[in-house]
Amino acid sequence: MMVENCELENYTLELDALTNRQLSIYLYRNIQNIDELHKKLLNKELPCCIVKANLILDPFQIVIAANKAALNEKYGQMVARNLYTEIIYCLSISTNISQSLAAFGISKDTANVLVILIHDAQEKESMEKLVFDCIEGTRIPISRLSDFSDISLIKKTYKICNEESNIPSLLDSIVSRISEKI
Amino acid sequence: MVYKIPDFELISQGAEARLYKGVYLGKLTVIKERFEKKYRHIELDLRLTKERIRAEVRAIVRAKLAGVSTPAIYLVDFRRRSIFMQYIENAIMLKTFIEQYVYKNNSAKNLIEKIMGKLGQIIVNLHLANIVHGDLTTSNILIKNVSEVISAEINLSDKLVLIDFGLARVESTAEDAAVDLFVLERSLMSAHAELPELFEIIYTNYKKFFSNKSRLKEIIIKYKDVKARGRKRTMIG
Repeated sequence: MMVENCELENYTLELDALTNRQLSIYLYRNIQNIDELHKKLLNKELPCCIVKANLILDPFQIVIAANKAALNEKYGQMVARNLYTEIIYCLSISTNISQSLAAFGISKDTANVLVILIHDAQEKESMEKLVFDCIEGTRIPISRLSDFSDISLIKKTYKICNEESNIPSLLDSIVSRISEKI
Repeated sequence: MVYKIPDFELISQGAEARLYKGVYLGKLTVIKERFEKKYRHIELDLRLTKERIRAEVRAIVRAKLAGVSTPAIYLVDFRRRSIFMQYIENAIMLKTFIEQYVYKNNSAKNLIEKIMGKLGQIIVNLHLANIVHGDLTTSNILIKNVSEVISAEINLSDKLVLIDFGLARVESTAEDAAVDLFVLERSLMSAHAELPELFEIIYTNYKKFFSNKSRLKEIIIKYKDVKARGRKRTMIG
C-alpha cells in the first residue's frame, strides 16, 4: 500500500484508496522568489500547496491533512475553493480559512517551505517539472525537516500545552488535533 | 463496511461497532466502524452515529492533551461511519497481563502495586480535565512493552494506554466521576476476584493525587452514594 521511496529527496505516499491519489512532499530552503510564488499560487498558475516549514513537525502531519482534504474533495464537501487551499485549511485547527492561510501559508519573509503535490500515479513527473521550474531555492532531503521545525510555535499553534510530551507523542497530539476538526 | 477498505481484517465485533485492523497511510491502524442499525430510522441512526463518533473523538483527544495515553486519531469519516486510529503495538490488555503474569507470580506484588498506583494517577488526570471514560475495565486499558515493564524501573505513564472511549463524556460532573470509579471497582471485583486489593490501591492513589481537594470531596461523597445504590440514578435514565 505504501509507495514511499527511500531515494534521498523523495517522499511519495498513497492516500486513502477511495481518492485514488498520491501525495508527494518536498523540502526547500532559502527560497529567493517567495513573492512570485505567492502570486502564482493566487493566480492558480502553480498546481501545488506551499506551507511554512517551521510549523511542520513531521511529514506525517501533512499526510493526515492532505488525506482529509483529498477525501473532502472526493465527497464534495470541501470548505475551501480548491484542493490545495483545503490542505492548508485541514492543517489548521481554526475553522476560518483566512486564519488558516495566515498561519500556514507563505508570506513575504518565508524562506523555508514544504511543497505539497497531490497527483495520480502517472502525472507525478510532469507536475514535478512544472512546479520545480518555478521555485528558486535549494531542495534538500525531507529528513532535514526537523532542522526547521519550531516546536514551541507548533505547540502554540495547535494549542498543546502538555509540557512533558516528547516528539512522537507531540506528533500524535498534532495529528489527532487535525483529525478532530470535523 | 459501507466502503470496503482493502486488506483490513475484522478483529472484533461488538453490539455497536466493529473493529478492523490494517495499514492506512503507512501506519498500523484500527478502524472503528459504528455500523448501521437497521431497526432505527435511517436519519436518526445517522445522526446518533455522528454524535457518538464526535463525542468519542473529542474525549480521546482531550484525554491525550491532558497527558493520558490514548490512540492517535488519523481520520474521522462520517460517510464510512468510522474513526481511523492508531493501532497500539506491542501491547496486551491489562486484564491479560494480570491473569497471565500476576496470578502466577508472588513477587509481582510490588509491580502490580506500582501499576495500579499509576492507574489511579491516570484517572485523576482524566477527571481533573472533566473527562470520564464511562467504561473503565482492565480490558479497556492496554499495557505496552510488558517485558520492559517487568524488568526495569521505568516510567509507567506512557505504558498504560486507555482505549474505547465509546461511552466517555467531556464536561462531566462529580457524579459521573464517582460512577467511573464505581464501574472500575465492580469490574475489578468480577474480573480479578483473586486480587481483592486492586481497587483499594487505585482509590488510595486517586485520593492522594487529586489536587483539587474540594472537587475530590464532592466526588468521594457521590462515590459513597453510588456505592450504596448502584450505578443507576433513581427515576433518571
